[in-house]
Amino acid sequence: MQSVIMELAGVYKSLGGQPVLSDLSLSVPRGETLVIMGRSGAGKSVILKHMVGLLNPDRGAVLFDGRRLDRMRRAELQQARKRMGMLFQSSALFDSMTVAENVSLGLRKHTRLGEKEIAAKVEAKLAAVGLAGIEQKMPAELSGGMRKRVGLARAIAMDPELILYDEPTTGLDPITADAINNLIIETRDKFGVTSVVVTHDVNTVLKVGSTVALLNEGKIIFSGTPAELKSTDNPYVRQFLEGRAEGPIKVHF
Amino acid sequence: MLELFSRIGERVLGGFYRLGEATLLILRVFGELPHIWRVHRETVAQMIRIGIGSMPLVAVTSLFTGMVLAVQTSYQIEEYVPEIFIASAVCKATIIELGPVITALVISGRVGASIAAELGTMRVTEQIDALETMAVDPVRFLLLPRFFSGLVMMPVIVTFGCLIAIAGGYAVCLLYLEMSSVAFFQGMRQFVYPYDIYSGLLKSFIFGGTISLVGCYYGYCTSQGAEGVGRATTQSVVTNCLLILIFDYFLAMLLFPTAG
Repeated sequence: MQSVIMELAGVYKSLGGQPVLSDLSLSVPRGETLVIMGRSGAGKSVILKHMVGLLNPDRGAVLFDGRRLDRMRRAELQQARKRMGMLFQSSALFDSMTVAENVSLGLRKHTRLGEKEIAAKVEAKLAAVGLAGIEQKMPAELSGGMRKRVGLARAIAMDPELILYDEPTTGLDPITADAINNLIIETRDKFGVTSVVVTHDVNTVLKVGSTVALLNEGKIIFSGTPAELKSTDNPYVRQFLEGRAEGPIKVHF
Repeated sequence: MLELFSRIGERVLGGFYRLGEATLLILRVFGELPHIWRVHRETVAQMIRIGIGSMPLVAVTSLFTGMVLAVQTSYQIEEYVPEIFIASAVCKATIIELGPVITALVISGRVGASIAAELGTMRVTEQIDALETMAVDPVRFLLLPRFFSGLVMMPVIVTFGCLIAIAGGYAVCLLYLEMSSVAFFQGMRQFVYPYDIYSGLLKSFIFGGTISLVGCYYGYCTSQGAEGVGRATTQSVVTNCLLILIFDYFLAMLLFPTAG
């Protein structure tokens, strides 16, 4: 077992002719929470999609537990994905299924658990995200915050080693956003998982990260602890934390 | 001028790209067929949705098709041939041509469009990506049940539609054309052969597979948000209607060679 669970080495990626990632390198040590921050459209979600094998790099390598994820065959990739969970920005709940069916889908497809055991697991995971007793509700009946929580319950249903969070607090009020931040910390502590969070929410960055990386124009331009982030003189970091349009980070409309 | 050639080139290349993309997706769906038992729950749900859900619409369209067919056949031939041939024409035309084709056109509007819209929405709301990240193959989980259900349920729907259309034609013959029941069934028995029924069923089987595959392709490959979903839905209906009519011609040539 490697001490670094996920690593991107010299990754280049262009989408629609536009370079999104250029020579991006980062590593995620096991048991830690890496927060990648950056402006909207900076390519943060593209990094997550590389980590879960939804996109492959044009150049460079993606390593999961020391093995090339971008070169895995479909069956191997599926095995790797069973060890990960992902919370999408829009939650991406299956809207034709109940909450229980959403959370249990992975268990049904990949385990031999019986109905009772699956129901018990679903109940436990929903309780872990503070949503006990909503098994039979449809996603359309839930608020934005509840959808995120159900998305998280679904992501942790298979007890993954690595959880990827794509903008977990975007579109939520500050109180619900803070509750989601707490949930990310609780999930890490309770299940001992490694987490990668991409966000532009400074509160999330400072609260949940054990390491913070700032992404700008396809590269990581700062990496450090939240304390180092707060005390650095790096003009890019200062501009981001202070939320100024003027500065070295260029704003393109 | 250069820009014009560049645009034409782009379109041609785009066309080849989509053709290749569709072929690969179709091959993947075919390759998943041996695993159909693993998605039996989803398949049964789709069979009910595609099959049972389409029955009311097919019943209405088939009823009126059969009735119109009887009225117009009578108008065209009543002065030249005995009335029992009206029954023969109604039944034969329904079984070998109008039943499969009209039902397929109706189903492409109802089922093909709904498959494209549903999968397209799942694509743009990242639900298909979510399935991938959960190590659930979307081709097996979403496309295979829809394809298989289209393939299997279409002959059932067409059989039902043909029975309703013949019943409509029978009602018109009896009530409007004042033909006797005996004459109607005699006409039907005399010129409708088992081969006609097999041909109609084969057509419907092929149309069913086509409709669901086209809907699956456009839905699965949707991009660019709500507008993309609308475009995928429209394209699936247009492509299905064209393919049904084109395939119908080639199947007619193949199944009824003497007609050529």
